[in-house]
Amino acid sequence: MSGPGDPRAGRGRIWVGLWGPAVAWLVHFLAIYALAEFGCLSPLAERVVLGASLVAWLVLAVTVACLALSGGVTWLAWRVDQRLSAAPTAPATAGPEADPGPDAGRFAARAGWTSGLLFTLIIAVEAVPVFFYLRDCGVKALP
Amino acid sequence: MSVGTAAPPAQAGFERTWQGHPGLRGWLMEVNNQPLGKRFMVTAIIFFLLGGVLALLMRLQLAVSDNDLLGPQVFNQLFTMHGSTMMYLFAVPFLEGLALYLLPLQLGSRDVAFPRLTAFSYWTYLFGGVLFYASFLVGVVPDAGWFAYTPLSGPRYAGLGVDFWLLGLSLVEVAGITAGVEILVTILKLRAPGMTLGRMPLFVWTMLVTGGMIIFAFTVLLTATILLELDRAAGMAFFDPERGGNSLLWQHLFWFFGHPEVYIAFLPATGIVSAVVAAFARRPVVAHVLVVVAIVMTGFLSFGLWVHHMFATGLPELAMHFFGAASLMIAVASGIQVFAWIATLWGARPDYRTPFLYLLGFFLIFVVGGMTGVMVAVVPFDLQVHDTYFVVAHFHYVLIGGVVFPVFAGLAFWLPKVTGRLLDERAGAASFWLSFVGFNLTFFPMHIMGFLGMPRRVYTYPATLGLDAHNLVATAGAFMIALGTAVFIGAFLHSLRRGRPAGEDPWQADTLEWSVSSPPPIFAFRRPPVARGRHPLWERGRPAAAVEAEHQRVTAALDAAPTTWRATLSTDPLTGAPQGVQWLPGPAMSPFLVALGLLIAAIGVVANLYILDLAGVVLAVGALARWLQPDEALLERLRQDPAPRAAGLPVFTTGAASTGWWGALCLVVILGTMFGALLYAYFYLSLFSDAWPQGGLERPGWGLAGPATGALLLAGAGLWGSRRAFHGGRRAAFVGLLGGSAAGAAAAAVLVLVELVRLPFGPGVNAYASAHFTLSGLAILALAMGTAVAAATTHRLERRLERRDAFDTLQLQVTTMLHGFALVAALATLVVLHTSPVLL
Repeated sequence: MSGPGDPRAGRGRIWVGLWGPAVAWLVHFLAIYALAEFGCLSPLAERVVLGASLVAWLVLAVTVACLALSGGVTWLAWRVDQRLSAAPTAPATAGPEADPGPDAGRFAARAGWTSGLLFTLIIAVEAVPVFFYLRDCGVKALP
Repeated sequence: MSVGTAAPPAQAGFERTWQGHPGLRGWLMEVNNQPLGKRFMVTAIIFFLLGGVLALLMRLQLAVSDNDLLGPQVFNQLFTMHGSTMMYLFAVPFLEGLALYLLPLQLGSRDVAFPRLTAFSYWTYLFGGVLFYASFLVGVVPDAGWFAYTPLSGPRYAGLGVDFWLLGLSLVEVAGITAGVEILVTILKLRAPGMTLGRMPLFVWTMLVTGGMIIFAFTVLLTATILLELDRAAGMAFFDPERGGNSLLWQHLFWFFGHPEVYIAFLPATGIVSAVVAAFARRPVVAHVLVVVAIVMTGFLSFGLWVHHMFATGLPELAMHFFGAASLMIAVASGIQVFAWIATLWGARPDYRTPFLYLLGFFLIFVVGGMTGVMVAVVPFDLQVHDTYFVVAHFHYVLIGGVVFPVFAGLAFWLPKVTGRLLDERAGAASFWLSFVGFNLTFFPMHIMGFLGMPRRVYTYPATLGLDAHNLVATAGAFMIALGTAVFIGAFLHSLRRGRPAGEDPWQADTLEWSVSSPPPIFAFRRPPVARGRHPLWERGRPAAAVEAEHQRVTAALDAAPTTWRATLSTDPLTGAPQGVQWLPGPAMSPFLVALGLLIAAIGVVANLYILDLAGVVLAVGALARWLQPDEALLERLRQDPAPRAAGLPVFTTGAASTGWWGALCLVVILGTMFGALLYAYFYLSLFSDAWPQGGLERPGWGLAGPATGALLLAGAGLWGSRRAFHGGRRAAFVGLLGGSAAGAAAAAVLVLVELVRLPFGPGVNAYASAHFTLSGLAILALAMGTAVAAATTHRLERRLERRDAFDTLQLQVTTMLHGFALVAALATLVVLHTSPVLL
């Protein structure tokens, strides 16, 4: 979190830390669903590259990207929490541009890295099925 | 914590300002959260009782094999109305009503953010529910299930009953969405000074997440119901496979709502559980941060589960397993909460009074429902039990255990606050044991019935199935539940007259609502409270932080003030620092009239009386215009009032500091979700089509869409320029640019309309045509909204430019948001409609 002189940046990081992992999960889930629903009925499912279909490769690529995003935000929130925990307690100031203050910020940072750990785990777990369908999408959907 | 209960000098003006009007007119004009929250809850309980009676009739029919008490047609109607009533008319509206009543009290606010929206929400909910049940009066009761699967609910197989269902439901959805906005903005903006995110009670956290979920989930359902009604009333083909439509599209859209709907009901119930657990354990809920994270996780993950209702529909296996994995993962979030509650109660010595008994019932029943939920998340298992009574048992364990038992715990817990009287404990305990035993008698055998092959949604079963005993026990249990409910209601009615006075805090609980009298005054807090910690009433003796002195100064200035208009403090969403004195409207007829207009229009559609549609739309739009019209005399009075100045806070704020900005943002999100759902439908339909456009239809050209695109781009530039002109005080440039932007949007709308009229095919030819017309129509409506808002703002701000203040800036910000969204959405629609047929 930035210092008192830059309240906007501090608030931005706190909001990103709080909601970032959840958004990373959302992006990941919608992307792998779209790849499975739409990609499995497209030529992408037929093309095999290095032993896996393009759909599988794309699912893996999206998963790695979202794991990196979620993990990065988790690390960021962890850093903010560490910094705020070390800082002396200072009151939040009033006004629309208020510095969030350690109390508000610490809670958000702690919630951020906790949810980050969990959402990162969930992103990884949700991608596991693709390893069972590397060459195709299983039984074709009914048209 | 200071709760501001010290009596200041009596100021009759302040109290008079908060009084509603007397008589029927006053009842119709009521906008305060407390009476409206109570109306929501009472209405929802009435629907709950109606739904319960329908369930008893079904159980009577199923009590013995080969029974012909009701017959298949009536049975179909009963399970449709039972499910619809419980899901749409009871669970969510009740919890929204509880939240609307309770949130201001827990947050330290005098009312919710948009009181007139609360009134509108209530009236649309009531009218939607009445329209639903009016189907009984005219003998065309909906019979396609609470999920209304197509093609069963389409024009070929379902009669007028489904129109009642769709239109009644549409009104209820609008009510739900508006209440969701209300809840969201109230929590973000109207918290007590010092109430940071970390100090928000867990019930408030659950409602914050629920509010967001409602906005997305209900909007998708609203879009789906509109599409189905277009199929039925306007001959479109979204869900008609013979004309290129797709029945599974309905299931995707419905379950994108339907699964989060379960959590929309369940999450607030967990908030109730957390409140009751903390109060009865006399200690904070363990692992507060982790519980908050679990609440947020539940909210998000619930949107990743919809396909687990569709495992038997033939989707790609890979997709199904993604959803199976997500369905397993949500148990992690639920498990965190359950273990936190157990840890909180570990070693505590709770009083086994009515709220706590219902809480224990919740634990036992919900955990069983959660375990069977994990079972049906596994695709092969789900395929075995799909559409059997195992699933009926599972979701009743989740919904009754996870929602109804906490609701009764919450009623027993908070009714003393609402009525000022305590429930009779013996009657409360009796109602619990009857309900708990009755519930398990009813639904536990259904697991076995499902395994033994009893399908759901059938009106009878043969004696050879060997399930007579199971069904008879289930029926007896259902009547025990009914008796338990009757005892609870009897105890409630008895308590109104003869209950012991509750006092302010009968449970020695920790949150702000227990700091005011029971029942609370209509303005909730004469002096706004200051939040010193997460458990304000348990931390009264905690030393005050330095910042609290400033908060106390602010709240002291608003002690019984202002005296001529309703107001509360608005605060920063993250820190709870005071940001402004928020004006709140008094009694108004416009919310009732807008809702009435929508009801009349809905009746017009059902009855095929299009003159009624016109009358309804005119009434609704006229009342809405009256509602949104700024009252210049009032604004001037607010500017001159001494109370905000004494508090050192502005009465008008801009951007994220303003409730209006958040409200507009919610509207943009809702409209964006509608567009998103329609675009999903468009691409989904194209996925299963051999050619796109279908049926050899001609691809739409750029002849009119090109100029329309140009007009939209110019309108966007005008909007951007008008903001600079406004802040620079250049009146002529401002009027020209914003007025020109409105004109550009109007021109684009006209061009799109002309293109539609000139197309060589109609909207009912096939699904492609239906999607094309509907997306274009929505773009035209969005542009009409943007044009109207931009034109009205140009007209008003032209006269205000030299004297512009924060209110005027806010109006321009809101206009930019709404008009800008309309331009972007229309542009995206044009691009999709005119490029995708080439690319797909």
